[in-house]
Amino acid sequence: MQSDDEEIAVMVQGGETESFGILAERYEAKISRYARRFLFGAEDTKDLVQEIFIKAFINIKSFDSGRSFSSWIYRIAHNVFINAIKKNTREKIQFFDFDLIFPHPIARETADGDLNKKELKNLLDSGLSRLDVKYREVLVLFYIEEKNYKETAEILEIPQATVGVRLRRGREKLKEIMLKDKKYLSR
Amino acid sequence: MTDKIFNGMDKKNSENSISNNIEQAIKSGQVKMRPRWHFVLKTVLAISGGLFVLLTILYLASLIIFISRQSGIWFAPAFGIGGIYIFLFHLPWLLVFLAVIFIVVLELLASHYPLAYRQPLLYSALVIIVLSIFGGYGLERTSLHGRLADYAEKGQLPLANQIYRSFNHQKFNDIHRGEISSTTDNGIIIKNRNDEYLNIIFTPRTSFPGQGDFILGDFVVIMGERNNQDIEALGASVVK
Repeated sequence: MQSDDEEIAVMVQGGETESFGILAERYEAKISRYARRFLFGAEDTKDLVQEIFIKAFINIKSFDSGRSFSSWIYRIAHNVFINAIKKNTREKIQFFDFDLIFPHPIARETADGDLNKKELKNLLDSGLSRLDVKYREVLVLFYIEEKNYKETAEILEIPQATVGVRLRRGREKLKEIMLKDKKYLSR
Repeated sequence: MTDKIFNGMDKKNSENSISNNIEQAIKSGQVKMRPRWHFVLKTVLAISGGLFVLLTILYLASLIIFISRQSGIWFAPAFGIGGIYIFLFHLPWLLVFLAVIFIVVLELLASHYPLAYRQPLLYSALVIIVLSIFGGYGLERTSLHGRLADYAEKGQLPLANQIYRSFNHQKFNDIHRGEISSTTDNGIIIKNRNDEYLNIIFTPRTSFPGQGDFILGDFVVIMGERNNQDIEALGASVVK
């Protein structure tokens, strides 16, 4: 029977360091995909993914086994990617976001308006690179990494309602981009 | 540190998968786990830092209230729009600004913890602001600032001497606080903190929020322009 991630993390914390390899194998493809989609066009994603696993191993004793290992390692990935964007690209990252200040009603996770998940995944392939970082990341986590609202909120350390707001705005912006390109209209 | 590890790893294992590279780096001892005490220490330092910032906010909030009470502006809003204007105009804005900076710092520290980041920022900010105001008010009601002000008067308060002395001897031309020393036909005479006797003249325009009876020895706040020792009161109120 396969041990769950949290059990393996506890084993690593206890000194069975070679077990970390299992976690690295389980998450290598996922984190690499997250890197490729979030850091559109970046050439050094392999280095960044390695950095994430190294950081995860170094800091494994700070992991609380009562929480999700997946959210924990994705949080490390988020921090590494944001630093990489700040360092290597001209993309603007807003330090202050009004969406975080005020309460919003939590939208139902299935409420995707007139676009379903499949359609959106196709749209993401072509329009993602032109979205703001804050919308791009939430769309990648929700539609590509298939994290739910709660997990996405934990990874980004924002309220669940803000995840809903960013998803809705991200979808709208994506549609705007597609309409502008006329690609979307011709389909 | 991680950059060095990658460079070494990439040269040796450029063909390997990332997970293999990591496993080899762990086996060879190139990467080591941080001990648990490192994170415990980090948490203790973060909590201590947060507590220090919170105490600083409480101190500043209580000092703002103390200074406002001493000068009388704390009671000015009871006199209506003119009083509110006086209150806002004479508020020690430098201290308020400092308190706001510390509140922002505390909010930033708190925003890393689930209790804060799972809710809109407004909620945690409101909790901190309400805690600061009520905590500051509670602290001001103790004898802390009174004692510190006394020490400052005697020059026994290193660093803070100047703060208390300058605020304690502030004089405003439109708001006055003092003790009733005698009554006159058309008003009262009060003695202020600088041992000056001021002649307060009541007119039909004078408003008396709260109780209107003035007894010798009562502390009062008077709103009105000072003209030498005379003040034509626009408002007068007994304060505790």
